[in-house]
Amino acid sequence: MKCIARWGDLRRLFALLQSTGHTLYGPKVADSAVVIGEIASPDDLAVGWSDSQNPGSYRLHKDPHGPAFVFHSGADSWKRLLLPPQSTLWEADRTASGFEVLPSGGDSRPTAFIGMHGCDVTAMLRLDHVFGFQDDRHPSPGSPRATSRVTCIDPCYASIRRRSFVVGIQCTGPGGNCFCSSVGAGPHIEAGCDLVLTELPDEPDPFFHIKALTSAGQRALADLSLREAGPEHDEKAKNAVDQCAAAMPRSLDVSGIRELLHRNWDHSRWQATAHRCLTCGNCTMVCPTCFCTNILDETDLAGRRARRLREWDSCFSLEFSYIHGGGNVRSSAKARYRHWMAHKLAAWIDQFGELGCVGCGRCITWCPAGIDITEEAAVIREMDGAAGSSSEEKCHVRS
Amino acid sequence: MSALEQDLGALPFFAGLEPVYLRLIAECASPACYDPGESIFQQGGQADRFYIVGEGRVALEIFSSDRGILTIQTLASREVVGASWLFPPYIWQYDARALEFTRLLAFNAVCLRAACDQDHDLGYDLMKRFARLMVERLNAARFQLLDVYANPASGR
Repeated sequence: MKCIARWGDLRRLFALLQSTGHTLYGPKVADSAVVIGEIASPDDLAVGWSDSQNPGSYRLHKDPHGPAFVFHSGADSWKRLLLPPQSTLWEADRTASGFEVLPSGGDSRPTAFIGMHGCDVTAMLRLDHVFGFQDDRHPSPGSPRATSRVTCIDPCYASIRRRSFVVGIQCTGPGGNCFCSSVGAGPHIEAGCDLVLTELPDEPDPFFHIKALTSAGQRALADLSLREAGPEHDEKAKNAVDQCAAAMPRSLDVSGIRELLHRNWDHSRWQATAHRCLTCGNCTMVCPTCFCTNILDETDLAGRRARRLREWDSCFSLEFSYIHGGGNVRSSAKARYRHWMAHKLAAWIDQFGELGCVGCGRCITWCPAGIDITEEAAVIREMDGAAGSSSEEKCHVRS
Repeated sequence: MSALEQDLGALPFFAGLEPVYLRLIAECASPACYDPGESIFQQGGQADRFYIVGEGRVALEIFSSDRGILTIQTLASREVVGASWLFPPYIWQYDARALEFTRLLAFNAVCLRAACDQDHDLGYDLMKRFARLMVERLNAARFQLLDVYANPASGR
């Protein structure tokens, strides 16, 4: 089902979702960046805000004359909602005879995630495979490995996903660090959303093409009684997204990337990059697929209540690879950067049969040293098998 | 006698070696340079070379799971790096890393081992030189263990 909509129709869509109890979240402007937060109307979205993104740099600017949706991946990803930075797994109270686990106080309200770009929709589907979530409302194409291998479903993640109504936005112009088309993660959205919005270009007022991918999406469009889209609207929407895909400023050649990185585990580039890498972990925090967490147990001072927390962790911290009994298996910056990048682009394929990178470019933008994963992969490919200049060549250079 | 053979002969390690052997060893040598921090060889790798330091400094390191990277010895100009090439299974026991820009002479151990097998006089001579080196290093390590600079028993 495909329809066309004006700004007022989006307001009605928001009101419809609110009337069915949904709490709405979307990209909005806060602290000079686009972040994901609670919203009440389409006017709360980062409308008319664009950005200049380069390695290690992000600047937001208002473009009052352009399309409504020209923002790109911001300082935040939907991971903040899908896998909260900190969550309580369980709590228990001491009793006379032992302890009693408290009923889960988890949120059960439905949520609507509005304004998810293609890369982020793909990231969500990748997290689905990590956490064993299979969406029975609208089965998405499963990963080759994940669908057959699900042995464990994360109940916290599944509960959030099961309650979520997702509205995607197909980008019609790429950001400065985007490369989703080269890793097959966007900007087209084919699955994972209930509704997919595409802003049609060259319109005096915001004008949208809306496609329903699920029965829930179809019901919403039917309730709004929107005008059906004609073939000319379908084509215009498709062309706009195709143009965006073709205009991506960066690309990552993923052909044979798993084998490339595995056989270049001792490439000289890892050490060269380690000299720049501050091991701050920013890339893991902003990455929409980095899912590593730490488990903490804590008790109150009186010893009456205990709880187990899960919070984001980063493979760039030394504690992350600290092994029981004492010892760290990735003590150097080189080992930690290599572990992160090779997990995204190689080991993720071993685990889930797909890439862990969706080409959103956040790790490039928010890296204080401006390390660019596309450049790193390209250099390793360019000098495949090379350990840099040989020790003998170096002598000739110096003499 | 080539300049390289003369240079090798002037090193304490090769002092008194027959000129014919000096020539043979020189034929197995090639220059190797490393940037500061660069790995020269890694523990567990194939020990197919040994080195003599020309300029710079080389740290022999060992990775301890609970204490990180520990430097067990630092070698400077005219010192020999690596003895694992002499004995099966020819595997490096330590890591070696350049601490500054380091120029080394690298000796192809595969070529030398074959020469030693062919000519036992050469093999015996080299074995004596490396055995002496290893005893010196062992003694140095024992003195380190004795903690000669501060006797723990004295409480200081």
